[in-house]
Amino acid sequence: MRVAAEGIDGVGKSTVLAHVRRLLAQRHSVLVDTMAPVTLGLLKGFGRDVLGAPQAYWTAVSRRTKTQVFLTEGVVRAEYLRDHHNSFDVVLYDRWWQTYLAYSDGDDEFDGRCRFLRDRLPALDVVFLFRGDPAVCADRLIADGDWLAGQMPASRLPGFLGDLQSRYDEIFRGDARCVVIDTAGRGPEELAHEVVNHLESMLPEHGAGGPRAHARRTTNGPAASIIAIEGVDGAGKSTLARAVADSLPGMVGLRRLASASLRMFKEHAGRDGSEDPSIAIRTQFEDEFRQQTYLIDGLVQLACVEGDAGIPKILLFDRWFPLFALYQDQITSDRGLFDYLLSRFPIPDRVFYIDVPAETALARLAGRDDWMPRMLGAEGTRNALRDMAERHHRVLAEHPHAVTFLDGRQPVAVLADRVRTEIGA
Amino acid sequence: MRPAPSDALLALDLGASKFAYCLSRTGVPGRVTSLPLPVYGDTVREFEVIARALADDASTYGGVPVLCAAPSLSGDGVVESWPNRPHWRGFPLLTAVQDVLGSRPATVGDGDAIALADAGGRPGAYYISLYFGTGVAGGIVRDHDIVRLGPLNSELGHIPTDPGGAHCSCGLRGCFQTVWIAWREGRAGRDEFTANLARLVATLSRVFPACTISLGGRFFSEDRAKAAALLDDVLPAVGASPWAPTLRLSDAGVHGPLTGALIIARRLRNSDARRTD
Repeated sequence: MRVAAEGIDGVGKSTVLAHVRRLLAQRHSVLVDTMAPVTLGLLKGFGRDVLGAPQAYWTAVSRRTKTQVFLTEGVVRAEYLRDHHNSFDVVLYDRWWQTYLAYSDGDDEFDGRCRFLRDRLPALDVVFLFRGDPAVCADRLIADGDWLAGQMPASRLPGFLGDLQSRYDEIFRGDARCVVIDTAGRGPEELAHEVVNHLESMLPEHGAGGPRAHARRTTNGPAASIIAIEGVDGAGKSTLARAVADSLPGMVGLRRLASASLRMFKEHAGRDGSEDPSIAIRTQFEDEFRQQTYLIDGLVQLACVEGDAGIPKILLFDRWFPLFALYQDQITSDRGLFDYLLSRFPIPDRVFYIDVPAETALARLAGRDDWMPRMLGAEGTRNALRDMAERHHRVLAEHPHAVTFLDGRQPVAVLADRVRTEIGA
Repeated sequence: MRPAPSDALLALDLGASKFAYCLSRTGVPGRVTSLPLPVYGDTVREFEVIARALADDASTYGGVPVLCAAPSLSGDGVVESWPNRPHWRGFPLLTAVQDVLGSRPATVGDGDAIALADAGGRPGAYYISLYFGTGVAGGIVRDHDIVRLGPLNSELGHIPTDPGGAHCSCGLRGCFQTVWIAWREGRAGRDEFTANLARLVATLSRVFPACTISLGGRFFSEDRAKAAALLDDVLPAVGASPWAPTLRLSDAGVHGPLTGALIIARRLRNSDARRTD
């Protein structure tokens, strides 16, 4: 069961959820999570490292971008942690997408991208909307030295929170999954009992997970060694990666960076079957939106890998797009933030670069009816592959990464042997 | 500061190392003025710091101001005991505050105030609060009222948990507070602190079966995950039984003493209003 708590700042959501977690954990397995802990940490890192103060991101980054990146994590995090989340009877979210809509100023800020992502978040079973006296909430924020209280004169804070509460009321109007909790004059323990009573009626007597309370998992990036296979389209990356991973089960885990969002875009773009999804994602979604999404997705994915019980010793990535930053110029909104995010990707322990002539790659792409020759034509694809290879070589020459060049014309078995030897398998 | 018609309640908090106060219309502390309280070894000089701060503040307040005080006071407001500042013994605290404010404050012990702010509402249940600041304050609440087991504040931090341990400012050895201070200052390890906390919790749970014990203060409110992990380590040492305590983190925040003082100020105002009606 997925449950969220929403409501204005200072209303006591987190405090009540802590009690709810404790009470529910007596009979059920409970996980407390937030929608976007990794992204929030990254934005604060951007504030700290680039702007001089962690919270400085709040004003420096546009509201639309903030909302977009938080929602992106909401979608992909649920995907990467699906098994982990499913092992709990209850997942409690402290805030959900309604927070971002409540804070947004109309459709310009909560725009089509945000609505697209919102519609792909995992469904909730129930949302508790905590309502409170804005003056009391304001005093709590001031007393706690909350960041929001420093953004406006104390006299304006109750009015701001009152307006925000009205927006929440509007957002949840008619929402059958919403349960309103009136906090006026009631302590967190009493409020938690009301929440738990409601949830108990929806939960089985004995949950699958048994009694267990769990804080959300730490997300500091994988402890495994990261190996990447790179090369232009048609170089044979996926074939080689699969051959290596299949020959070393348990030791090497094959991954595709940002796989969740790539799948999300493709599923949506190809939903009516009329167009090749690889082409459709380029015509139906803005380049900037896709590239921004892949960046966030990749960082969230790496953060979520850590803590996997069965994490292999080596994570083998079929392509490592941050290395060459080929598409970074397609990002114009809040570019500074995304340049910072690009820099947050770890440097792979080793990169295997498959060198292959453009003609060879083109023949392979044409042979499998790839989107590139279909969309760009033979000449356009040849030129694109040459440009790509040139930029790849420039980057590899400039950066002190551990790079092994492979001759892509050799049989895959020979290349796989070379990879296995280099990684010590 | 002078009493004048106002709906803002005044709460004051005299702690071992700081003095804080706030005016609140909602019963939640809001903007808090806090200043360090130096140790001169001279009570009059130390109190002057408080008097100056209050006198400089031109705000007005309504009702009865409530002073949350770390020291134990006699019926006429004289300091009877204050282990952290023994030289305050005999100081007429309430009279001195009255001279500054223009009206005599009601008082509440700091541990009691926090306990009041932190207690839940389960009828008949005991709620015990341990607040980790300079020392360890504590209080006990039942049915929204402070439980007094004697003339002094509940000095739960001065329950010995390590009889052969360090000397405490109260004169005993191995008070739980000495372990907390040693850990805070890096002289004791986490395991030692956890073991002593478990002993204290076990002791309290034998006196108050099935009670709820909350831990508060800056350490427990700043990094909730770290604090929750510490609780997880304490619980096994306490043991499991129907009478085992519920151990949780405090909801009172860093201004718990002022929140508790405001609860009392509001009660006094309400009872005053009922009398007037």
